[in-house]
Amino acid sequence: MDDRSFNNQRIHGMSDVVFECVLAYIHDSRDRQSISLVCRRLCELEAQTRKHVTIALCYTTTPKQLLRRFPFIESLKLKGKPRAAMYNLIPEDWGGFATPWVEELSKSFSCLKALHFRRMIVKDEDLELLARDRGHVLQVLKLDKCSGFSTDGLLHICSSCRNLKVLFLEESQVIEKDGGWIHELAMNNTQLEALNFYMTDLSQVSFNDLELIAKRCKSLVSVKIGDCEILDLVGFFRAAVSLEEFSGGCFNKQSEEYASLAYPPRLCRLGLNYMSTNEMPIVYPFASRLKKLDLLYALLDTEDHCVLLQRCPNLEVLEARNVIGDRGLEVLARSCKKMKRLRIERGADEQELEDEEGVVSQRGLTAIAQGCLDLEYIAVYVSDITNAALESMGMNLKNLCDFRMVLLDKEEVITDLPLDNGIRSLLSGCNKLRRFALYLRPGGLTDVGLTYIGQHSQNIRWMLLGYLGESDSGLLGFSRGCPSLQKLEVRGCCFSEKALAMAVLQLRSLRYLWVQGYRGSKTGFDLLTMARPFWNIEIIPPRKVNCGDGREMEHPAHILAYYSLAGPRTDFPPSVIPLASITQ
Amino acid sequence: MSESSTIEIDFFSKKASDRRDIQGMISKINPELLKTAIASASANSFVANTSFSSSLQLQTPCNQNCGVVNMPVTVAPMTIFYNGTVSVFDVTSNQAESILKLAESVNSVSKNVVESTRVISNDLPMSRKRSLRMFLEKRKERHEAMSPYACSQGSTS
Repeated sequence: MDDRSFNNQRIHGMSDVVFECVLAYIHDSRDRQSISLVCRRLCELEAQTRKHVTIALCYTTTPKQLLRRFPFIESLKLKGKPRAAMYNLIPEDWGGFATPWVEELSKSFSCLKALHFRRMIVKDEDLELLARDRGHVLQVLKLDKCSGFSTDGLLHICSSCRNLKVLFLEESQVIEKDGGWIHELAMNNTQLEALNFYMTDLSQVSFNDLELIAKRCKSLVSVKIGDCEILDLVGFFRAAVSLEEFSGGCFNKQSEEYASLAYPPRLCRLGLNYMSTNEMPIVYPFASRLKKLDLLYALLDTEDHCVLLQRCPNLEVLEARNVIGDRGLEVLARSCKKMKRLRIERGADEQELEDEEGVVSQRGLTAIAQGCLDLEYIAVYVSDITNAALESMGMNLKNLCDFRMVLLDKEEVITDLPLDNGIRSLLSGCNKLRRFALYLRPGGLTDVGLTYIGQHSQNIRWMLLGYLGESDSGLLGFSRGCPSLQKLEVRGCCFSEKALAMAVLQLRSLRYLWVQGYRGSKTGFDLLTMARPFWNIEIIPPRKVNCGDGREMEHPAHILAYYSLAGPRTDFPPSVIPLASITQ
Repeated sequence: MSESSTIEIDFFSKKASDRRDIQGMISKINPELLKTAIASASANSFVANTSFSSSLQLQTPCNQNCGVVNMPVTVAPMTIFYNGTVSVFDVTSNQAESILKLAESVNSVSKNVVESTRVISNDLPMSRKRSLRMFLEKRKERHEAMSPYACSQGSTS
């Protein structure tokens, strides 16, 4: 009925043309989703004008379904393995293969310019196909925490994609054969704006090629590399006049030459790896310009952090290990009033390798809560915590959208557990929260506290619950709330299969569940309480994993369940078992 | 496939690789019968006494009408979970007993069946993000490599 001959149709009295013009201004995918539900014609129009699609799990749909629904997309983001893969908890061969997607994308998606694979398995053949069929139009390629490919695949990309503006490989596991790919990039490309192979093990990259890229690519704004001696980058820094962001490199020498290094004039986002106390002063000349600082891989102690942060009044983003300490956070709270994102990661466990003062507790958190009022994101590993600190955050941090807290297990006694009241205050005070992660220990949060989370998380879409609650009734109380919860991750909790399945049925927005560590039955039958159409349930059974130095660790079972329009997977590895869903 | 509930399908004679055949057969069984049979399994005390003890409870409207399936008196539904597939078929008590004897004669439950750990609380060590773990390992190596040399500045290097 609604075919192309009805070109000048009217919808609600207005011509198609009007809607087409208006739709071009609507970008939020949720708004577009609402529009597409109004009537068939608007659904078609919306589909034709949709520019970007994110598929949160690649097994929820198929390339053909994507083609039917959104044939003209210019940008696609696909995610594969569960988030837990970043912590080495998921078998490497779990899945998330890019091949079927690359095949269809290369063949049928004529407008595609930007592609982002996250936690997927990408093969050299995929990259070769992409380079051959889309090389001339591809502008953005992000292989984000991917694996399965080598520098040969990158060579194809760099030889054929001459219009590439963004090449992003951060944290991917790339098999390195040589440095030819970056040489090709240097020779063929003048459009590059962002190059990132940070936290890959690519070491055969020649600094001469980096310098050539900086010379030829006038718009080069962001470069994040692996371990390359900083002194070798003098030429690179001199040539990269537009550079705003740099991370990587390393300081291998004990040299005064580091001090005389000139950095690009617009550099304001910085991460210098293996930078120690001696080299820190090189940052001072432009520290006041810094908006983003990555100290995760630096070799600084608590005092160093205090000294440095005091000089960074314009800092908006900071990443550091917990060696920053409470004292460092107090300095941050006093000096850096524009802070938006703060991430404090867990440092080494061995005492000799980290500063004694390198612990973060309620003292540092309270300082941050009172000093950095614009904070939008906080992720922190704490060694101690109180309800009062959480209350303070709830009272002060009104712009907080993302809260993640892990209580380390080193200290046996924690000042103030359970955290029921503090968490309730935090959640009711920070009503813009969209993402929430809380990882405690038995006794950290009671069933009442877990129910509070359910009651006070109106807008939260993603949650990670670690060692929370005391029994199934806590989970059931939780699942009566959380109206917006789409993705739930649960680890180390005491809930039974039955309770997990019932919770899934109660969480009305839930479309994805991951669990590791639960009270399982011998057979897994109870999980089938949540069996329903379009709901895939998969199990990764317990397995022994080699964790290096000859030791073996037992990994408990995982449950992964998600809505899918594609039916059960057809590419299960031996390590993953499907529970076939009962379909109508 | 006929709707008679006395047709017998011998799943055990099929190899594991014929999973698709098995699923194909299940999909041809009247879905209403399948749902009811599964739901009524919980009411069947015979099944409850066997090693396949956990009852399967689906949230289906049939739950209320457990007993309303027209089957010959001596035949009862048996639900089998095998290699990740669910099969339901009606067997006489003799047939059921033979199937169970056969299953019990195989030693222990194979490791491929979901056998989750019972105790969880301290079995899950906190794992570190891969990038950080690599950095800390490298730093340790650097630290060890530099220790033969006297280092007069700072406590960390």
